[in-house]
Amino acid sequence: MKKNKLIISTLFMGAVLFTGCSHKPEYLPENSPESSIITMGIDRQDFEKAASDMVKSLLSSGALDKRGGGKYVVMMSDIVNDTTQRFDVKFITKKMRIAILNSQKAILTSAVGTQRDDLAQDSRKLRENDEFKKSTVIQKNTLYAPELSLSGNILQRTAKANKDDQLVEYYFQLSMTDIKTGLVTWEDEVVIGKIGSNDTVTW
Amino acid sequence: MKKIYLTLVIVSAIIFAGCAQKDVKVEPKLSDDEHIIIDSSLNSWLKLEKLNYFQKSDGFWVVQAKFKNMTFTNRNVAYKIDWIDKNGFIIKSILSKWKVATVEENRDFIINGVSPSNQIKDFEIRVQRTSIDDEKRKDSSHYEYQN
Repeated sequence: MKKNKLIISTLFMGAVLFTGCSHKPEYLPENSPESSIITMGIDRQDFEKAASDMVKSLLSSGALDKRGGGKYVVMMSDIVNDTTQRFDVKFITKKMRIAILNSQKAILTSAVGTQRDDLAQDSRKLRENDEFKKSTVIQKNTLYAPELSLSGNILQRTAKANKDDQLVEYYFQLSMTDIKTGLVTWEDEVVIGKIGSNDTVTW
Repeated sequence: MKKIYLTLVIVSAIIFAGCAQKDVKVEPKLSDDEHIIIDSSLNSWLKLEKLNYFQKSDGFWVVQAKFKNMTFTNRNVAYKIDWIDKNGFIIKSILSKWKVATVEENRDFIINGVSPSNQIKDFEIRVQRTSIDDEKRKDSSHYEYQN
């Protein structure tokens, strides 16, 4: 019994002491100087730069200008993360999807593609379920097929700059393909380079 | 004799002053363009050479402003393009944020922009001296080097 009390007291004291040592969490506003932290890996700001440069290039290229008017239906295809870091490519694609939608020149589909919403297909299986009112079940011939597909790669190249420093370059490469013809209607590349100590790791 | 020299000097001064005034009138006063707001403290080294903008057939605005660093020192400048909708509101977009550019000595500084949507009615390019906080934001999305 005494032993239990001793353990609990020790744990309690330890928790109090360690809490005292740690920094109090602080909110980091998006554009504050404190949020401008540069690491050798891919930072939030790198995703922002890649996305904004890509969107600027895409919108000025005229690739989203549909002949005869209307909006293209764009599907997200494979965007391969071929770097040593593990991150979700949605960090860049989500920013681009928002910008493409806000441009009002194209619309995105979640029915197909690598970033699909599976419920768009699954909800159609309810047609065979008698528990659901037929009038509320999604009818056939309602989905829009994609016309354009956005695909790409994120690549990494590491080289020794000098005795103490290493150079890391990230290549963001994206392409827009006309699905009907297979022709690439837009492509661009954004390169972000960083130099830092050899002791720093990028993953 | 002295009177003749004096008369000549005065007449020449009037003639040349007249020419200069005429040049100023003929030259487009780009800095007065309503689309560009430049911090007057930059006048000592930054010169606006050309502002080009047009609306494409798909409704998107394309903008290019060309400046020149008139000194033989690298300089930093902060800039932003505000895109304004039909109601006069500034649109929040990843294509519109304050950036710092280092402009190499005696080189051009070019601001390129494309509107985030085809519903834009107007734009403003704001060019300012960098703040202390600007100088601390040296990440890839806030900083660029131009030469």
